[in-house]
Amino acid sequence: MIPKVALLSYDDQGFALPVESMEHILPSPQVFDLPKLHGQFSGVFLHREEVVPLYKLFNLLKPNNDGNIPELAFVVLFLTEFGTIGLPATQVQCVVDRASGTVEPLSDKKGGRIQRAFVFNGKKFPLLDTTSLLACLLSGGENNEEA
Amino acid sequence: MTGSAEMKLVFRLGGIGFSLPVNLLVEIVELEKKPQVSRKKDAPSWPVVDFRGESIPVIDIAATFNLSTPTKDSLTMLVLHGELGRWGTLVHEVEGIRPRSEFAEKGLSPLFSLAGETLYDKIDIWRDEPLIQLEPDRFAPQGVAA
Repeated sequence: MIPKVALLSYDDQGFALPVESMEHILPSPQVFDLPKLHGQFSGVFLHREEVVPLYKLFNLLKPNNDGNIPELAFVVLFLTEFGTIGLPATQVQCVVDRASGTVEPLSDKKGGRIQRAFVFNGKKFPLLDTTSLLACLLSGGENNEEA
Repeated sequence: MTGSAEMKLVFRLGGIGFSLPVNLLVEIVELEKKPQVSRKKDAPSWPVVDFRGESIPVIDIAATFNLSTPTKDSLTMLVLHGELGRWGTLVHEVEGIRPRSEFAEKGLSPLFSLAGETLYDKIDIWRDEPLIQLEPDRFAPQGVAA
């Protein structure tokens, strides 16, 4: 099976996801608030009667945002070893073979939560994988470093 | 005849839905005034109210969950069974008692506890809404005589 990468965007922030970790894409679900949620989750939604947390992706992609979180058009169900995470998005740009791009360090700065980027047609897309998403959860807070 | 173990109470704190097996519920009481902490020396740090001739502690679960109270003070109290005795907690809204068959119990994935211990582990999905399964033993006061 040829590894593929999905290139998506959330408002003006592009990002890349390995397709093998994507379970499903849902149109914007009803999001519920639950008390005492992890600070990196903005709420939960129901999918096939499972409770899935919605990740605060915009804060990870654009740490110095003005606090206005864009509305999501759909949610990507992303599989991790600890369970499924919902990643908000506004657009799927394309799905490409992994071999059509390269994986490079995202920036020279150390300590950022997103370490790698998928470079396609000269453009860098922060590459979100289980490691980068879970690292933010395990650190107990939101990313304050530039991705 | 449907036993109490087959029914669940649905109530709300700050708009968030909770469920509770009815066999853990003693009574739903409408208080006449908001419970106050006693200023007496050696008084407990929580309010107590008289319930059928017995003084029972009142625990603020809404504050534990960081759920805001409505502008009007709630006077609806659930009296619950505790390992060490009965205790009460104020709720903002009681929706009703429903048969257990209306609820779908779901455990939360380990993602929810990555930041540390949580106040709840299970959810009841009821009418397409997630309700927190309240586990009274997590909140019941300790060291209260029966």
